[in-house]
Amino acid sequence: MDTKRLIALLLSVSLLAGAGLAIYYSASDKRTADRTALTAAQAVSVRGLIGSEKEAFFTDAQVVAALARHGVTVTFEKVGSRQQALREDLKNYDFAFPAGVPAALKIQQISGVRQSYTTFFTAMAIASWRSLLPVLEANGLVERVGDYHTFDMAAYLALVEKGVRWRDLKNNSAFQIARSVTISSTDARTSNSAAMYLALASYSANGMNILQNTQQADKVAPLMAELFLRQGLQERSSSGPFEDYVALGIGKTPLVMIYESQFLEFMAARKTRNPEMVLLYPKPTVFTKHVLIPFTPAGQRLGELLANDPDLQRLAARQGYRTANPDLFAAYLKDAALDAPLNLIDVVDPPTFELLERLIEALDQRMK
Amino acid sequence: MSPRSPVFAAGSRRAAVPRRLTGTIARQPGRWRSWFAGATVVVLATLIAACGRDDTRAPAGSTLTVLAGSELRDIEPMLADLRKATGVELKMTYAGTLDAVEQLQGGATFDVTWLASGRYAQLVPEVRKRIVASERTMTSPVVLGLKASKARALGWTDASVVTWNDIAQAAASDRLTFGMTNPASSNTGFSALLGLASALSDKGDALEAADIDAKRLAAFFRGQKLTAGSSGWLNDAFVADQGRIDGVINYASTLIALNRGGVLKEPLVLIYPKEGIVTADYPIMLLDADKRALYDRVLAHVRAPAFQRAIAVQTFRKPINPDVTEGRDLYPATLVEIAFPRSLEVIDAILLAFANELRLPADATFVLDTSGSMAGDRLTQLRTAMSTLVAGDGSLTGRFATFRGRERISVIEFSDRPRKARVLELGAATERNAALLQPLQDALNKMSAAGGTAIYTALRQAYIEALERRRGDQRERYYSIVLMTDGDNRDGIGFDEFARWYRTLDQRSRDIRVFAVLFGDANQAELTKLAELTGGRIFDGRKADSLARVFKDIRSYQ
Repeated sequence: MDTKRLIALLLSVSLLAGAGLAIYYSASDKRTADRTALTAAQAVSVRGLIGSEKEAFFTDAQVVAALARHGVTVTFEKVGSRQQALREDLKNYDFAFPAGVPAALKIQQISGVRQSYTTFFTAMAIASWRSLLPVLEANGLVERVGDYHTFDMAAYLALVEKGVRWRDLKNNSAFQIARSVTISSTDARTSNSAAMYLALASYSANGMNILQNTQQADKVAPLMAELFLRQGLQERSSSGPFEDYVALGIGKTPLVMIYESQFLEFMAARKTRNPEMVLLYPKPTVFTKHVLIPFTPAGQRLGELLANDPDLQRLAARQGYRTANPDLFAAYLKDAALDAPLNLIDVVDPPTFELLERLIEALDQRMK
Repeated sequence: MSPRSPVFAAGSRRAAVPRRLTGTIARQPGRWRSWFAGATVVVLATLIAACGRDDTRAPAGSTLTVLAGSELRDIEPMLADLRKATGVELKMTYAGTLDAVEQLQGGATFDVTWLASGRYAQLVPEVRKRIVASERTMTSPVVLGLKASKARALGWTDASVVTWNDIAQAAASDRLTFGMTNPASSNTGFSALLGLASALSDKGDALEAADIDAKRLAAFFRGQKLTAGSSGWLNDAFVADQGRIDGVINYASTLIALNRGGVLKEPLVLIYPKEGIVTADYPIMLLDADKRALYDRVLAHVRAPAFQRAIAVQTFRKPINPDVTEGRDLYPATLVEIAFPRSLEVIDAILLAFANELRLPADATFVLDTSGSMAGDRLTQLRTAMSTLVAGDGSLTGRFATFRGRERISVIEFSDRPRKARVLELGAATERNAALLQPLQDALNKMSAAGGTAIYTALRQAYIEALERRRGDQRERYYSIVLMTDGDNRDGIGFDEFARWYRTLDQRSRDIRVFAVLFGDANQAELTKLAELTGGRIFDGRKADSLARVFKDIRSYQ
């Protein structure tokens, strides 16, 4: 115990010394020094709700340090993005930081806060297994495009409509199981990643068009519900299915809808990577924007930093997120020796907030 | 239930890392203070990231009350380290998974739960509402452990290709016997039933009530020679009875421990049925939002490499932390996971089908003490306890503890001598059964207490009658005897004479177990010996108002 205390103390001292040095060196640049003095004078502690997928970002030592340099310390609670709006104690926090514009809009609606910060974004993607690629390719689901793989949503929906099982797929010796070909996801009622899944699936189901009206939404709703009903009981937040993928493997999650950033961050953080794990890009895909809603000046300050501070934007890219400046993401991929498409071309917008809610409402009815 | 002490609550709030940094330090202007705050956060983050420990920050007296799965007693030795590292003491209360969910439904106050599965809690609306956060900690699939010689005899030399269909066929044709917990009270029993029901229905996706193939499922349960309310007792009973029973359904982790424990005459081959299984993932769920900081601290420790390694090495569960290599190969790499039903109705339908149609019908004898000392409150408690089994008590477990379709019930009251047994045969039609049970309810209402205590004469009579019924039975049944007494044996034969008589029975006749309920001033030592003699167990009904609960628990053993 004493040694641990000592280590902790030494670490504090060395960090303080490091911080001191940093101040000393940066003092040579007067403007920086002034800014440092200013921010330090306004040090704040900020507490908020975040979608679980951003836990890795806020616990990253470099992010913590970067925020600390601006006098900001963040504490958080992980709450499913779509559940944050349901929290009655929202105003006890400095900010909410869900994934997805629809979830953010809902929070803004409920809290009456008009301000928001778009910080970084990521694409919806499907994590799968290399041993399944041949069978997925043979059945027209997956196509290799350059250095990465796309996943044909329309072809997938056709299989879902027919209730095709894995063992029914042709040229399948790898995965002879009775379960139907289904992408695992979170619960669309509580989590943004599943709502985004709904957004991109509805596009394909609607004849490659963004849903425009309630008639179109009602027409695709039964098939959309099928995507979720077949999964049985679902996890409530987006770290769930990805954890299944990592911990339980192919037998539980042959295909799982996740954020691209989750996969990249997981891979980048590991020296030995599992070569079996592959990421597929749905065709088309949608982007999920991470939008911060501030409730207090402290929350505004955090939003400001995450959206505009070059250092934090760079660190976000180092967590696998895409930012306004694509060079940051490219540099990150290179450093981490990861392959991902720099420019995703086939990207659609989600339907309006109201239409997406209508789909989720219909799903909720079927799930009761 | 553990009462929440306001002192602990206040202490834990002070201990909260985030709150401490919020407020006091940070809102004060001043460069050094804020640098220091920043640096502390970095140190903290570094330490947490490194090993989940930060023993410099937890004042003594931080406690989390935990409602935990009974098999998690094997984690207990690791909790001292957890406390040292986090400053948080986990006060464990153990219960079966379904029982735990019912306790929560009834409003029991715990800070967190640590159960094999969070799925049941998620499906009960009143309980789901209480879940603030949930994080998994480790995994263990529910599988069949089969004696190596039996696996060979069945031709299952490559265990990886064996299916639920193979297992069901072997059991249906009397080539395989097994033990399994009651699916209505224990997660392992339910997981196995779900896997089997999904496989036999050839349903690839989440099971619906209409999918249940009752006929083939019922054939499988012909092979069940042992039932229990908890997987722990099931394990012990299997070890004691390994000569007679071919296999046991339990967590893979428990079976691996058994194989390495040196108590088996031959090793068990673990069979992970190919169509799919259910894996327990042991989430820690936060119920009290005010304990968030302690919860986060405990989770960080539990999910950190050191604790995860200990889990793998000491308990044979697979770490949830992907960076821990220990335990990675405990189970086969590709395990097909069954989709879990989405609604409580489906679970109910499966459990009711199990109780009324699928399981071996029970022959349940109740030997009840109505001697003079039972007069007054004791008799009222006994009446309530028995009435719960007739009509339920409105609770989830109460519902599955009631007498079931096709069950045969024998009730023998005794004082200085046993009275004539009251035997009831219930049919498959549940509506008719209510009428059939009415005379039993009337008799319970009229029950009175007088006279002495002839425990073993009554018990011997119960045995003789049960064996007679068995000889006359056309179909297989599951026989058991419950003995409830509130005092010493004073009349008729004694324990020793009963034991001598019991030992003269042939091997097969001795497989009727006695479950003894301690009540009032019962002789614990003697009843323990009785339970050991017959392979049963004792239940303690002496705590205030616990008798009805104990009777419900016993139903899982019948």
